[in-house]
Amino acid sequence: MSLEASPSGGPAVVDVVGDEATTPGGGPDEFVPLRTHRSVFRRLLGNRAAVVSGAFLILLALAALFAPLIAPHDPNKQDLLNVLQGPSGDALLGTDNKGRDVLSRIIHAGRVALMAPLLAVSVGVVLGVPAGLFAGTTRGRIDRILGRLADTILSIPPLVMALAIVAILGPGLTNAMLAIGIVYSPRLFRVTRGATMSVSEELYVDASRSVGCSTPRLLWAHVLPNISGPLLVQISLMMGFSLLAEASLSFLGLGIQIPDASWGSMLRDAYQDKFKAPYAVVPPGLAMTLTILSFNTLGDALRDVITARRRE
Amino acid sequence: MSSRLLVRRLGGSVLVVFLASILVALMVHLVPGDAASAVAGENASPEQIQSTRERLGLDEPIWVQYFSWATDALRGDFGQSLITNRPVIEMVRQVLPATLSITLAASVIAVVIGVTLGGLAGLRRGVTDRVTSLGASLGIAMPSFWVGMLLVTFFALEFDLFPVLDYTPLTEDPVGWLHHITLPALALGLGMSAEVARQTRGGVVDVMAQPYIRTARAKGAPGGRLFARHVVRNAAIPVVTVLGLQIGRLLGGVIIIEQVFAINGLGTMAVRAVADRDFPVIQAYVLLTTVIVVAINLLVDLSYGWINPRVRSEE
Repeated sequence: MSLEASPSGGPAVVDVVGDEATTPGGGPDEFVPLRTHRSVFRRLLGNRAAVVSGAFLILLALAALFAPLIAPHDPNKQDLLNVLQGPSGDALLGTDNKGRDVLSRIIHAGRVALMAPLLAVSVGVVLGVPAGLFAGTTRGRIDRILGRLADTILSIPPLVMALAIVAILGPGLTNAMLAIGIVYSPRLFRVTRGATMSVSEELYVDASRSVGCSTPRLLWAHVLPNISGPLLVQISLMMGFSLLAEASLSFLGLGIQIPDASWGSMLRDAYQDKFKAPYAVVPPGLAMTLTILSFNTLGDALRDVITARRRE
Repeated sequence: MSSRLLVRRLGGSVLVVFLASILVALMVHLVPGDAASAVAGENASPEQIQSTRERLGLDEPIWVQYFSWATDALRGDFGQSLITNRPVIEMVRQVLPATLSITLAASVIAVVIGVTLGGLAGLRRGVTDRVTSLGASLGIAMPSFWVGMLLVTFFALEFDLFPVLDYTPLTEDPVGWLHHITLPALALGLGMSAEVARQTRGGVVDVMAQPYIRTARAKGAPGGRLFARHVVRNAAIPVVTVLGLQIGRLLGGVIIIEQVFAINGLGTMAVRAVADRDFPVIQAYVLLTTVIVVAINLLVDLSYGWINPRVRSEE
């Protein structure tokens, strides 16, 4: 599966997206538009790893949506007589340091696990994609300035940058996600810009320009649909990274605030009692790993499908 | 690498650091509302707010603020912590060795494990390849701080093989140092080794398909020699690239690893400073990590020509 995802040794991480990142022979220009190949979805269905990941994410989304119906207990109901209990018939994954049901908390925190990355990625898209479209079509001085700015932000490690932004805005889940969105926006900017530049050279773009199509309409109707492939790949990988970043900040106490829980803050609670209940760190971490794995696998599979299509 | 290119790369790096320094120096201005009262805290008196404003230099024109901050920073003076009143550079100097030890050890672990497994997967293919591939995907998806917790659970709590927490300086007790950094470095390095394994595997597969390998084989070059002379050099470039790209991830990941292992390092200092809104400390921290990342990536760029002479002529 995933190793084959990058036959030319292409990095499969969101961190390395950029001019150098899209690897030897795997630049954005190798991607093809999604819309013109409806078979992309069918091909994705033929990829077992992608189907399993997709199914897992859909299940997770359903569980998060219907959390109050599915969760066996109230996630915030404390039971101080039964703290740090191991798994039992009543509490399948045991209880935490305040006697709350771990399984119920994990199910409820699934909402944060999906909503928080969604927010971060939306911020990244709103900041990065229009700037990338603009820079990719106009080139010139603004392109160079935006490029330099992106280079600068990219040279600050993502989590360090996120910490700095949280210091500016103050702690809290929304601020943390804003921070992560800002951190990832240069990556979306670069992918969009690169893909836009290669699409802009296509004949149909020239043609619509020559019949008097305005630039905004050109971008919306012709360029954007044709760069949706690389963007979707990027967004899928970015979801996983945002979840990791959210968990990291919540683990540090700078993300989600009590009494709400995210998998990161659950890990923090569980880890504090490591001497009393050493295995309590397993369930939240496992939930996180499986979700990130699914996002990554889906992103890799999408990239495979799109690039393989191009090679034919 | 030609000297002209060298100058250009160096110039680019200096420019990025310069732009980053502007962002860093003026970050206090981005605080919503009045920065001084936000930093001074909710219950601060007007006098305290005024004194905070002066300490942050917020009463000066903006370019004066940048210039004086930047010239001080060049001399290694990042001001004093708003909380402890200690010189920031002294705080950094105290915690830097622990963080650098873990980061370096993690890189070594990542290269050793990643190159070995990735190389084997690329050469043997088949089952080795599939297992490594699966392991690499898992390794990339597992948050390093969770790996750290699991390592603590198994090796420190269950089997008592390693100390759970804390750090011992190398200069005081080398054995204790190694003992203390093994688990944190492993936690940090495993995820990166997965990335390195992917790159190595991809590089080796690419190289093995090249005609010159068939030629060398046809000439009767023994396997070991073939590997050392042709495969390693050519497959090294993507691996070195990924090392450069991963350094930022390492410097971010080490923040949380330090929390997990209760190590007083750069990350611990930064997290405390963020919670306290201790801007002089945060500024020094962000600039320092950026300089490290930019410097490592410059070295990576320079190493291309040394690893593979063809790169020199291509440029």
